[in-house]
Amino acid sequence: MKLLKTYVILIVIVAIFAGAMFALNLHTGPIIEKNNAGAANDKLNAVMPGGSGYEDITATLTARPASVTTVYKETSGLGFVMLCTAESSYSTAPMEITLGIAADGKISGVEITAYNDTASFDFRTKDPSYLASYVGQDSALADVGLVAGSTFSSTAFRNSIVAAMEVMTANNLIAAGVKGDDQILTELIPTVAPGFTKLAEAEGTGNIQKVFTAENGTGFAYIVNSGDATVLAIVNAMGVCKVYDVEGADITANAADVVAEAVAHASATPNKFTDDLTTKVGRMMEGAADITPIALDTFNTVVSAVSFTVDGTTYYAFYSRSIGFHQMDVFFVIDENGAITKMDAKQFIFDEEYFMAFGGMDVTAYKDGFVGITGDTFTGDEVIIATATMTSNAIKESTQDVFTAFNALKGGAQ
Amino acid sequence: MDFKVILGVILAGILSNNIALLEFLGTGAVLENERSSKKSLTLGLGTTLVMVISTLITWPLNKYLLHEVSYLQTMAFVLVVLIVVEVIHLIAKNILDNYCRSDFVKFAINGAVLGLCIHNTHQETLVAALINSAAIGIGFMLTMTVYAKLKDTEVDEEAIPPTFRGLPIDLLTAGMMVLALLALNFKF
Amino acid sequence: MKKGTKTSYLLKGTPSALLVLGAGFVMASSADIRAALGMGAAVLVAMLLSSIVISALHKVIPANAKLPAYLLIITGFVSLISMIMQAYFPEVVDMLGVHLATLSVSAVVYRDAEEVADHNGEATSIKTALVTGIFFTVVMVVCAVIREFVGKATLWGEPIAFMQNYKIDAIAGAFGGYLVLAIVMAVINKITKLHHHLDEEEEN
Repeated sequence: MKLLKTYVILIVIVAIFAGAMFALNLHTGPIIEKNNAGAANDKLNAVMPGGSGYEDITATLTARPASVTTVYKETSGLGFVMLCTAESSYSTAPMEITLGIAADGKISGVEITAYNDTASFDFRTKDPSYLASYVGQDSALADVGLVAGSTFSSTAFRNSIVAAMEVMTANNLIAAGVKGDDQILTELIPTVAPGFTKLAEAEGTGNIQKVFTAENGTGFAYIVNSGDATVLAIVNAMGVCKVYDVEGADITANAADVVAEAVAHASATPNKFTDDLTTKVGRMMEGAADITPIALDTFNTVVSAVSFTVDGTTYYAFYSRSIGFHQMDVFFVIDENGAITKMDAKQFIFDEEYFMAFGGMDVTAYKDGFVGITGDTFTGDEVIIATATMTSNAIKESTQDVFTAFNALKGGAQ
Repeated sequence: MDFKVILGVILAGILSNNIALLEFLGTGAVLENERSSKKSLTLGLGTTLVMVISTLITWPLNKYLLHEVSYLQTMAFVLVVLIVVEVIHLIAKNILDNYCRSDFVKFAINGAVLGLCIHNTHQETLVAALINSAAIGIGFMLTMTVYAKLKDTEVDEEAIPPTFRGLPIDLLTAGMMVLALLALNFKF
Repeated sequence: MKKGTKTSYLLKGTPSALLVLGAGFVMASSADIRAALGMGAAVLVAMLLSSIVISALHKVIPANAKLPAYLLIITGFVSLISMIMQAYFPEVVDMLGVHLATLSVSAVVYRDAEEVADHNGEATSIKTALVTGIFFTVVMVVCAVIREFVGKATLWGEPIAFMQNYKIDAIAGAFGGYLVLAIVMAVINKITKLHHHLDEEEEN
């Protein structure tokens, strides 16, 4: 009987409180639910100020690249929020980006929720205003550059934003931004001059609007006023100039004035690549004579080329400056038949832990491995150094560029 | 789940996820404990048992019954813990009472048990939840025993400034244990 | 002190004895002032309501049902309080996490209810609950001010500019909880001991 009373009392207590909680929940339940929904929206509202609710429209999009993971539509019509990723050579995992695009096609906000690149190259630290510079831009991204000292990471980030904007324009969700001539020409540089890396921008003089200087010394690019039009002039380290119009067509033959102005500007900053290459040839090939510089119209990483003779046989030497973990200086000697005779690089002593494998690497055997390779037999596997992917890729780029230069040379000679 | 993972979970329960010292669940029970280390070990063992059996009930309860009425979770879990403790107490009355009389019931209903049951609702599977309970329980038991042993040690009371005698010095002692655990965790 | 009435540890002048039972939630919620105030309010209200209800019901509840009945009553109030807090102060509930729920089994609330409400009239229990609750709130807020200021260089979540370069993360972490509470308790000991002396003098 006493036990029964105990149970009854306990059950009554539980029942009363359960009832009270049920009643209270009628009031607090909806508020809590709203709070929880609000918390999920906070992340999206951070890039879409004033957003009230979001609808996932990812599945309805066509031509969506892998870098765009989720797309939300703001339900009151303010715009869109996209979750994107970006990956550079320094990424341990993809960077995670939240991008807000207002209905008028302009970026309303952008945030990096996870940054997985090397911390010392964090472009947010190098340029604290960088993310803010995206806000208000349309899909043309006209006023957004890259961050010096964090080129790989900021390029990856920018490309991810570009890809995200492209999806939105391709699906007719936002209007595409209109690019100015100078922007179109600036974006043309990587296509026509792939060897020009880490471009530094400066104001020009005279007809030259803007000057881009490749940090690796491979050349200069100029945005030049030519009459009513704006054109792009590129000058490589060997002093050869090419001119392109906004359509991307080569108009060098009709733009002598532009060529003259660009070459004059470029030659004001002389380089010593040919001197370096001449010295190097003297060391690499005993008895080298008649060393003659050659000017090539290639705009890759080759900065200098010479021809020379050893005992009456003609050889060609090339100097390529590609970028791996650091700036690379790679030298090749190629014979008349297009086969590599010698290969060398300044950077075979590496102090970075990244290249630990280099400590035990047989450098001589590695260099000898290039001998006899021609442009036709080169596969890219010859250059691979385990654990030094970025350096391997740089050497691969150099090798390919040198063969391109050799073909240009031979093509020009014929 | 392979053996290595289980070992890792148990080590984490003792060290990096130490519930009483680092998560502040059941800290009061550990600090207040004035029993001998042997009694503490028995009590701790009992608590571990309560943790595992409670999880065995609360995890499915939460997954299958409470997801619509989450506001009843605390009430239901407290009820479960109460019943489990009473049942264990009834079954093991003889063994327990030799050591620690009836305060097992009061002791075993503490924040560590309830907190763990709530934490465990986030575990993916029942097995994972049970292993975690056992690990956290062992960690709790060891913490209690070690702390009781520390308190048993004779110290020169005169060496402690008067205002620090009692709880403050106890807290600092526990704080030193926390520092040691955090050092293993590399997060201060 | 009046004769014949049992008073809480706190009213007897030994807050240490009571604080040790609540050391867990005090340290858990003293990393942030908002959390400290939220927890303080929860403790205060839970103690107040459960003391009143238990002192009203203790005659009806048989001796062997005391523990479960008291615990369930406290749990009920704590659940109700946490529901209200979840609705109106969701950030605070996020900061407190599981500690708000474990308040239901906290020995502070339970022993207070058991020792006071069980033996006294409602008036005393309300007084005790208020004093204990306010005491805990003050201790938590004092700890929280120190831990936020030194550990996170913030106050009420707002960054303090000049402290940014001098903050000590460990103070906001677990170890800081123990260290700061120990120091605060030492100060309280010092103050309450002074009061003891005064009391003794008066009695003499």
